[in-house]
Amino acid sequence: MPRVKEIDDAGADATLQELFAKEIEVFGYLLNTTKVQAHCPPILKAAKQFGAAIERSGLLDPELRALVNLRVAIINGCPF
Amino acid sequence: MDIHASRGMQAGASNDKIDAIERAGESPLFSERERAALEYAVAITVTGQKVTDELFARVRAHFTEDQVVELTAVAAFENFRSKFNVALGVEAQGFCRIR
Repeated sequence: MPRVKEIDDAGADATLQELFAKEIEVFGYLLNTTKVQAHCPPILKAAKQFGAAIERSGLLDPELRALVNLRVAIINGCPF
Repeated sequence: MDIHASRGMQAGASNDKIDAIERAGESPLFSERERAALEYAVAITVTGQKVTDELFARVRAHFTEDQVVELTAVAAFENFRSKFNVALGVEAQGFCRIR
């Protein structure tokens, strides 16, 4: 379990409502990181936008991007 | 294995390549371009390491300035993601397989 409570109910927060709905549409469920970053909706939103911006930038092929992500995640001991 | 590696496989990275990624410098599976990018990502990520002028020149030999900026953003943002997840104990999503 993560060190903070996971949030999977958007409640009355409009930002969370929108982001949760979009993620469930894409993945069918909420990602674990999302449920943790949901404690700070502006940060969750910005993190998602940053990730999307990198994909939209699109100057590197997706395979290379994925390899770089994996290499960095391994160093940081991230199970993701 | 995680969402990014999962996407990598969808994007054409083979299991063999993913398994060999920590030895990319010696593995024939990786191109010089990929090796330069991965070495650059390691230098950005490992505490105490720095991107030397020599390494940067090697990266620039394979990537345009625009691409280098994107590459740097990819590596730096994955540091945000992975450090965030490790610090707060966010659990793996279970994409594809467990490393």
